[in-house]
Amino acid sequence: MTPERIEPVDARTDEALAAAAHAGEHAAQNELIRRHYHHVAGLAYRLLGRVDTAEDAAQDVFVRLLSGKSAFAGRSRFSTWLTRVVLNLCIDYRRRKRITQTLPENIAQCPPATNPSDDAYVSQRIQTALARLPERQRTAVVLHRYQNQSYREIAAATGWSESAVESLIIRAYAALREELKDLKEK
Amino acid sequence: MVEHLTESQILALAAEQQTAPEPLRRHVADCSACRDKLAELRATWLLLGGWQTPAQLQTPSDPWQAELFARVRRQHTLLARWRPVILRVAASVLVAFGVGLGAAWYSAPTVADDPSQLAAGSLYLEHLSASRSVDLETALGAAGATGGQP
Repeated sequence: MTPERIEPVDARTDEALAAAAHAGEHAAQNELIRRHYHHVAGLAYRLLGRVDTAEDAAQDVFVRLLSGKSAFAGRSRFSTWLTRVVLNLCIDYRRRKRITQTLPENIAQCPPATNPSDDAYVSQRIQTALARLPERQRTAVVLHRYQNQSYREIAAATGWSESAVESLIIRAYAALREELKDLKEK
Repeated sequence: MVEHLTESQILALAAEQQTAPEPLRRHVADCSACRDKLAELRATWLLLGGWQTPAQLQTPSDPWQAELFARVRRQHTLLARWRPVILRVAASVLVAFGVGLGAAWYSAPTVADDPSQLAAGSLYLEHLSASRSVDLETALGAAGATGGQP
């Protein structure tokens, strides 16, 4: 399911809101959260695999954004910059072992859903398949499939070349196709 | 030889991320190999959509927001409290460094100030002169012996 487009209540650009939020304007802070929480928390969830950790990570991102600890310098699009902050934070979380379990263990602890038509079963299979991908492939395919980002946007957010992104995504989809071929598309 | 679509083109068609140019669509309509690949990728694309973001991550909860704003306020308070101190310390360090540098440069000893170095320098110059004199005498002596050619 692709992220819905959220129509802004405040007409200001993200960049203007970020500056106002950093200065302490509450309305700007609320608007930034309203616009970007779903994107930030959703991306963190798909990279870290746990709802509670994703909420923690999302909060860390917004603390950095609103307090100016991570300052948007305007050298890229705001959404690209925000994605980069989330990616780097998730890498930190994994390095510092803020997630105490890797994705497959998380999934193993969920009540097993064995009915192939069960949504929970499909979700678990997809999570397992994604968890088995190498990290860069997983990151690339998550950004491509779930954040609807183009190769260029992914390259800008990750610092990888566009050709590298293309190669990662093609290999990731091929692996996922193989891993999930027994599941019927709903 | 038929040129098939690239993986990227097929993926773009499967994801409908771009409006496919007419030639691509015509090729898919005519090429069973590309059509099959597209069908597979399209199925994978749609299947992956079955992993939804949990509802609690769609919008932030009130406790989450409250904690966020409390943390932001603490950051601002810390910064407001410590910024003047940090600036004063940084300024002091810079001034001390500059004064130290200037003092070191001003008081660096020169040769003219140190009598022992003066004496050593003079001896060296005398040695140089003596060496040159010997070389010159040797050269002149040799020139005389050979009729003026050194």
